Amino acid sequence: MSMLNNALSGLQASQYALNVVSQNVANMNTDGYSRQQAIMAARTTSSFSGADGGVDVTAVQRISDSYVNAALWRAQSDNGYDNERATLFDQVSSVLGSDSLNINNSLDDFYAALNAASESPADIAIRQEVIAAAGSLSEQFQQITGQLQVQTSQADDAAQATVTNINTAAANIARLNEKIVTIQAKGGDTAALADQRDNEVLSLSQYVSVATQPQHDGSYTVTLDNGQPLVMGHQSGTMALTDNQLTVAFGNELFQAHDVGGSLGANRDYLNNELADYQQQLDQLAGDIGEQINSQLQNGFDLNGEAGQALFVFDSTAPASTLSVNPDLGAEQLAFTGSDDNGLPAGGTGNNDNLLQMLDMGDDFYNDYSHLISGVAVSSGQAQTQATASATMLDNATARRDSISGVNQDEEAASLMSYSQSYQANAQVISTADRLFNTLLGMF
Amino acid sequence: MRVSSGQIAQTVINGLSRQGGKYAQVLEQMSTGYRINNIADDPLGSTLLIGLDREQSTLTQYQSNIDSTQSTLQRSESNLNSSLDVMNRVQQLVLQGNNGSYSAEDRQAMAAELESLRDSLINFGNAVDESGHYLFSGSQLDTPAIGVDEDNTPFYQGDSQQRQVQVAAGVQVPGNVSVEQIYFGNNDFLTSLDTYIDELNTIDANQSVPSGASMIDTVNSTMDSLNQTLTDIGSTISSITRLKSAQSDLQLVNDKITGNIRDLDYADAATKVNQIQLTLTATQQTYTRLNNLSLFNYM
Repeated sequence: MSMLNNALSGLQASQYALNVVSQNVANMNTDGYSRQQAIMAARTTSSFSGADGGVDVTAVQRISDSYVNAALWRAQSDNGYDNERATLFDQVSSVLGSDSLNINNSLDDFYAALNAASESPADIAIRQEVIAAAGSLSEQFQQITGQLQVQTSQADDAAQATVTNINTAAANIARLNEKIVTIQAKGGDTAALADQRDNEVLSLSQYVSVATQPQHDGSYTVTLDNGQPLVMGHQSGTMALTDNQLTVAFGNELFQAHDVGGSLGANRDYLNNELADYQQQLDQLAGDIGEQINSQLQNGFDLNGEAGQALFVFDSTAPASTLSVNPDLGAEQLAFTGSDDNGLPAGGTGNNDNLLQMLDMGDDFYNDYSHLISGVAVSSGQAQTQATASATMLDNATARRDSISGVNQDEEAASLMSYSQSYQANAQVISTADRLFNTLLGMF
Repeated sequence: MRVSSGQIAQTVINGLSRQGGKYAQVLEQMSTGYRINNIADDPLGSTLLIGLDREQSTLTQYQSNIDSTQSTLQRSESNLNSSLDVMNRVQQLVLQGNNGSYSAEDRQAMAAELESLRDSLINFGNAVDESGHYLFSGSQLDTPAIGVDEDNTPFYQGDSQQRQVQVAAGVQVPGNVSVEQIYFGNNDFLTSLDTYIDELNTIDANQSVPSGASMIDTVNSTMDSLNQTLTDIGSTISSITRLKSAQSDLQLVNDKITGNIRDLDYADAATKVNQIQLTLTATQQTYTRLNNLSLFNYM
């Protein structure tokens, strides 16, 4: 009675397919869930009639495209990088671009005081104003440096936290690899585990850019872009960040890692390149101001006809964070009077030759700072644009992945209808077979 | 193209958050009144703003230099004007003294007045500014311009330096004048005056004063020199006043440019807010409609 058997297999296959549909519907809103499909095939038969055997569910296929997934992970890494970079730049541009922390404003005050002194070089109140303005200028340098240092240490903390997340994700992937390999060897269902593992790779990709190679045993080998291994089979590496140096320890080997991409890569690139460069420019400017003003003052003479002294004191290895006003300098010791060919005062206390020289230096200082700020503004603007662009790329890559692996309600509803119908049809066939059998029995 | 149900929701969420982000940005702009709230909002504009700020503050510094130079020069001017009044009287007295028809008493009275006029001239020459610095002694601010030795002979004890003050890009003007050339130039007026006073006191009636003729010349050339100095001061003041007004005009222009770059166009912003709201509403409505479209509703 192949009719009965055929129908029974159809009934079972429909039921199985309905099961798969219910699983899809249940996971419609599960992040990273890959929809499944029951694959059916006609049973092969050895009989001559050809119409017996029925149907088999040969596999439950997890619908997933490894190229599309890889593209998504890549987009996630790019977005992780650009987004982190934009965030860091947003911080630095709000520090350096703010009105309250602005070297140019302090330079304005300092030069306003020097200008006032050029008209009244011997006026003690105006001289005190010059010293006070020099003090504010120094403080401004210290504060900005302080803010940049806060940003550095916050970024370092964030990097440490990211490294921890990377190690956790790598360990999770290794653990899932192990389970998948074991279950796959026994022919079991690994769909849910595979989804979990892809999710782990996705979150890992946000932190660092990785290459993922599926292996024959079902495991993933995950390496950093430059080849340092993070996961092989059930083993995972341990990343560490010490003394600004990234390493991956895998087994007994230790690899140096650099240009790692993702948010960690953006973090390290920014700290070691741009932020270091901004700090360096700031130090350069603070050092220039201190050195040039001091040396000009030392060429001149003060109200008492004594040789000039330094206005600023600073540590030349870190000028911006140490710039301050010489505490031993009194207002009348500011050497505004120039010197003549014999190295003597060029005039009385009303001589401002030396002061005019200092006024001339202002332009360079302003220009250097403006150059720094416009550099920050341009880079920061680019970073924001880049982040917006790569967010769109990520949206697109996610959409591409979802269009393949995501659940569509209507599709599932249609499957639900179609498998319900095939279930009913097979039931009808069984009932018909039963009637045929009864008819046959009734003949006797 | 196959579209998953989650994708539709995600597209809507992305759209809503994108519009939300734009909304927040416009609101920040409207609350500050600035189009640029972070230098990264418009790097080129920010760079221009830095330049404009710098120019504005430089102009402000020049203007305050102009103000203080002007006030010093006006103080000098008023002292020199008073000196000129004194010189007019000196001129009258010398003309009278040269006239032989005066009695010895008359001449002694003239000599006494000339003596006090001489002291006035020295006083005006030793005028100080608001902080007690001498106006007319060059760079020797703490030294009176005119001193007298044991014989009561006046001499110049300042120097001839003129302090340059920056009043515009590349423009420096002298911020002080000295009385050295006026009183101690070729004619050495004050010394000649002392000689003349001596002679007035001592010569007999009906005799002419020996230095009388040359004294008139000396008085005239000293007055010319005073007038010349006053003219110089006047022209410096008028040129820096013109500069200041030109700078004020420039500042207005800069303010306007700064406003154009930095300030928010509220009408534009209001339109943007409307657009965003429209898009938000449309997205929300589309989403609810799409959500109602499900094959499950027809089973």
